[in-house]
Amino acid sequence: MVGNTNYNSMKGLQLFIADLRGSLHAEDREKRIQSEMVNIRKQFGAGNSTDSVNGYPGTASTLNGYQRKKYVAKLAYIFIATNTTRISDVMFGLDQCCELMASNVYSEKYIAYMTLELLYSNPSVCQQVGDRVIAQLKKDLASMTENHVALALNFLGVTGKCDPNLTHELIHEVFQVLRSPTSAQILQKKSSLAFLALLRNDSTILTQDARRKQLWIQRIMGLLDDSTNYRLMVSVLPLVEYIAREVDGAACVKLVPQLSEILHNCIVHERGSGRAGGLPDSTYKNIPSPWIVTKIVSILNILIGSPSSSNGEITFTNIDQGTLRKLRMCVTRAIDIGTQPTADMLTRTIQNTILFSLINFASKLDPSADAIRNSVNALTSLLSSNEINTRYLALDCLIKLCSVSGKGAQDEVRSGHMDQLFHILLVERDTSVVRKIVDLLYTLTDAGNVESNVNTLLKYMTDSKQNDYQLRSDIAVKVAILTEKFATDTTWYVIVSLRLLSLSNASFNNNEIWQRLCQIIVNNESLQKLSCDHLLQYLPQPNISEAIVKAGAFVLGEYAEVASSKISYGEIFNMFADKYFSVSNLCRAMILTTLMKLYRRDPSLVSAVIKFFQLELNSLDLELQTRSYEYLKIIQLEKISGVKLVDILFEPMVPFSRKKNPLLSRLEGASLSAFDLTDSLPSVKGISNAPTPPPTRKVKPTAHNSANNSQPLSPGWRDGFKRMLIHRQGVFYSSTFLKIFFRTAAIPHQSELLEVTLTYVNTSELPITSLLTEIVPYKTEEDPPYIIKVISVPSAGIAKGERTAHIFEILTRQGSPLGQSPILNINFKCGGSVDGLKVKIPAGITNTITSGRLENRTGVTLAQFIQRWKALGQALGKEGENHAIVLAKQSSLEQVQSCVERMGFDIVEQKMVENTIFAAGIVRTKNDGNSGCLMKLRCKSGELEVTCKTTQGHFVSELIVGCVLESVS
Amino acid sequence: MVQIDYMLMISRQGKVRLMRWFCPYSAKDKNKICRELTTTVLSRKTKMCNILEYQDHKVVYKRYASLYFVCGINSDANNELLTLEIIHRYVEAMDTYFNNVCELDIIFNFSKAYEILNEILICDGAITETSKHSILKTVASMDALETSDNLDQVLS
Repeated sequence: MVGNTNYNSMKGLQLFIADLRGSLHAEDREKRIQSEMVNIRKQFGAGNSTDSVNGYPGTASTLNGYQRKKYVAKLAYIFIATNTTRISDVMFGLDQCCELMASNVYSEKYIAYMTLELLYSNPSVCQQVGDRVIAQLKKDLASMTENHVALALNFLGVTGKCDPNLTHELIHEVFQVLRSPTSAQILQKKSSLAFLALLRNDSTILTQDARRKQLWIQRIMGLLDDSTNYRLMVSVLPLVEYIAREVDGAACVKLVPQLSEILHNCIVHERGSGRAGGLPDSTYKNIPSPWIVTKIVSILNILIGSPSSSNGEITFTNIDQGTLRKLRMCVTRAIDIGTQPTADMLTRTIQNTILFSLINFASKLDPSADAIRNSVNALTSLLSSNEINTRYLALDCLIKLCSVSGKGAQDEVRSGHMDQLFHILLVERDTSVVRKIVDLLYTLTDAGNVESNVNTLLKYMTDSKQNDYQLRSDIAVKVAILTEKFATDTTWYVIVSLRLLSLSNASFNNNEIWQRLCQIIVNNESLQKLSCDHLLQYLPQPNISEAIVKAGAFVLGEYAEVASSKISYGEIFNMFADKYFSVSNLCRAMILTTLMKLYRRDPSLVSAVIKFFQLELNSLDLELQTRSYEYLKIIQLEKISGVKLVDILFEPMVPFSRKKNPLLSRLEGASLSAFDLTDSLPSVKGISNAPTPPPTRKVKPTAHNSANNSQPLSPGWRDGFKRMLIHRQGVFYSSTFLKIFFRTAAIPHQSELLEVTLTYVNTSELPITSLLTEIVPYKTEEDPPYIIKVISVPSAGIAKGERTAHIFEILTRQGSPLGQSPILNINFKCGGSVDGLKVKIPAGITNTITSGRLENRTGVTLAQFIQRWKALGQALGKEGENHAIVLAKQSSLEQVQSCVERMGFDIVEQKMVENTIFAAGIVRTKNDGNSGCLMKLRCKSGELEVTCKTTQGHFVSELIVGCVLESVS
Repeated sequence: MVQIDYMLMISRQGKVRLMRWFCPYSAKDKNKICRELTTTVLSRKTKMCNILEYQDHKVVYKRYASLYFVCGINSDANNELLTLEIIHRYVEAMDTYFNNVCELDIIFNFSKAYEILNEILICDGAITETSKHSILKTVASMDALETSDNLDQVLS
């Protein structure tokens, strides 16, 4: 594989590197670097003057390319070898570097680009040569030489994020390379990532211009088209992901079926074909390409909201059944693959990558209990893996699963795997893994297992040789939260909390833990005596932790009287006086206050207390000095005035009103909801875990979908719209490339549900590709009038003359004006050109009409009609009526009649009234139920007069008249 | 998504041999990261897990002979294994190119090391090419180009 053995080396550079390596002492190295710098400076300086060249034959007035390359490379090496600390020293070479960049010799250009890639992230570099670099990049991007374009794209990919000017100046050029069908694949790949780097820098370039956004995004999506070309896809997917997450998630939703298809192909189909994911390396045989899989899963994760989401995102319920089935199959398959035994490390890694990414995604698909059990089993089986990374990631994945899938997954782990987890905790050496297992136990704890979990964690803290203080402190905080949250027995709570405090040592100052304990003791009278008793047992021990002393100082200061049956105030005083000299200043200050409180209860301690304070008057610590001075003054004042000042100053603590547990703020991102500091402990149990929602795209809540009315519809859409309103089947739309037929059918016994089948026929001479459809309802939140559910999506490609079906259901929840009908967006590519259609699908109330004929067979007679008409008139008056007059295009009565009849109305057979049609029918909506409807249509001198009455009043009548007028006009 | 914020190559003596910053860090931060990670990573035992939590992100590292490859990745991304895989691909590609790569190869041919890296990942760790053969083919064609450039120079 190696092209040539000397790797086109530059001798001077090699010598220089060897010299640096040869010098043993730092000073020698420094000297060598300095002398080289002087040399380079001279050479570069020489480029500008005419005479001072020596030793380099062939350089008359300027350096030649090779020399320039060599010196720039040396500068780059100095920059790396000094750990980038010498940026200011190499700045002088920038001009020459730009000079080199303009060279047409590849190796020279490359060295210039490489050096700039290293330096460009430095703002001063951008400032100094930014303009020259951008000008040269422009030239190279437009170059006919593929390698030059590749270099420029690499540069942008690496440094794109460093300088916003790059985005503004070059994003169009990069997009040209990306979209051009003539670009070589390697350039397309690189340009996709360079484009991404520039877009990250400033995405307003897309968001500010709606038209450009639409066009560009469509072009980019088109790149995913060739579903066999995984090579290109690998580089395009990150770009699509970024667009989905940051730029326009809604525009990407229509990709869900296509992406699922690719995923399905990767995971389920490709096995055994040897071509898996387009990776020819034999190690990948039979294993799906992990790059594609993880990237697609990550995009799907962004596009699909979690089942509980209420933001109007799409969730598993909006995905058509076929796609959902494919996705679920992928998850099952991934678990199979992940649990296959393999000896090969590499294969193992890939299997696990796929397994972890799909299990994390599975919660979005409304998994069944079985599916969850399988996931949990697969993950727990990986916990006994020899490979430490696998254990780590399996735990990580379990945590996510448990917090996202909630109770189902948690119970599954609790019921069968706790012992395994405890075992791992006790034998595991690596802090990263221990941390994960602690997190997992934390997630899994509930009222049922809190005692065993907390005891295990405490045991770990006592026994473990682990000296990671950060970890110990984390465990302490978690134990504190869990005991408080789930404790059912107050005695247990106090014992555990105090034990926890006694375990902590000076190196982690978890003030929050003892402070929290004190807050709870203050607020719960029943705990006060108990905690005093236990504290009195802890305090006399030598070397007891300072946290215990602090808690003791506060609690005994406040509630000494409840313990006074066992111990006298004097003894308490002596106990604290003993501790005083072995604790920190903060703790000492607390003890001073406690002594004051003891004095308040037992004035006989006064002389001892005064002595103590006098001692501290000389303290070096300002706080201690002030405090003792003030307390002494208070005692003196009391003596002089005879007023009991301490009683006022040291009143018993009032209950805390702070609601939130301060400890929770220490666990950013931890999956517990805040809970109240309630009056009695047992009531705080039973608050369920609020799962952290996985990252999803940002959704801006809007009253109705702005996409629904943003852009003009395709010309001629109205004919198909009207046709679908009247007929059960026919032509919906035809363009030069595509003809769309429709068929609608009411679902038996559920006439508020209409099934629509659209058949897309390719009428062009070329195959149609990347056919993506999207139905945008008027609104999806706040009580939408109708809900659209896609049953199956059309396939993404249609060969010439072929057809594909698109099936969806419209559920009418309540009536809505025809103007609020959903819009169907169709995008496709045909022969290299990108095309799109935007048409409306009628979601009118008459979709749901059923004629009375079906029920009472005979239809409505005129007498019945008149009787009901009158009855309705009496019951609802003008309220229930709607009346409209239009100029009728279909002048003849017969035409109007057949039209109304096709819509589903029942025509009343009559000969008595001329030029008038009487029609009846029943419309159904999910929310409001059935509504009878009577209609009178009078045709006179080119005018059509429609009057409609319904049992549900004016609104429905108006909707029906709207539909009828739309159809006949 | 693998989101690699930076990649460092650190020798066992604690020297940084190669670095690539995909995020705009300040010079001070870069220094701090280099310094701290060098001590942390070098002090870890071989059997320990290759993933560690550092500052607000995760660090994935792997030792190959006398070199440690260290990547800082976004902590939202759950692709630690994939990052190891990227490192592995990079090492494999260099191994084939240099024919049993050693630290010295990388020191003396640092520009090649960067070139190969560019073929594998640009733009915060989005992988450009997954096939070792295609990577090496591209690099070899670049080499050929260089050789012919050099030849031209000699002749002229």
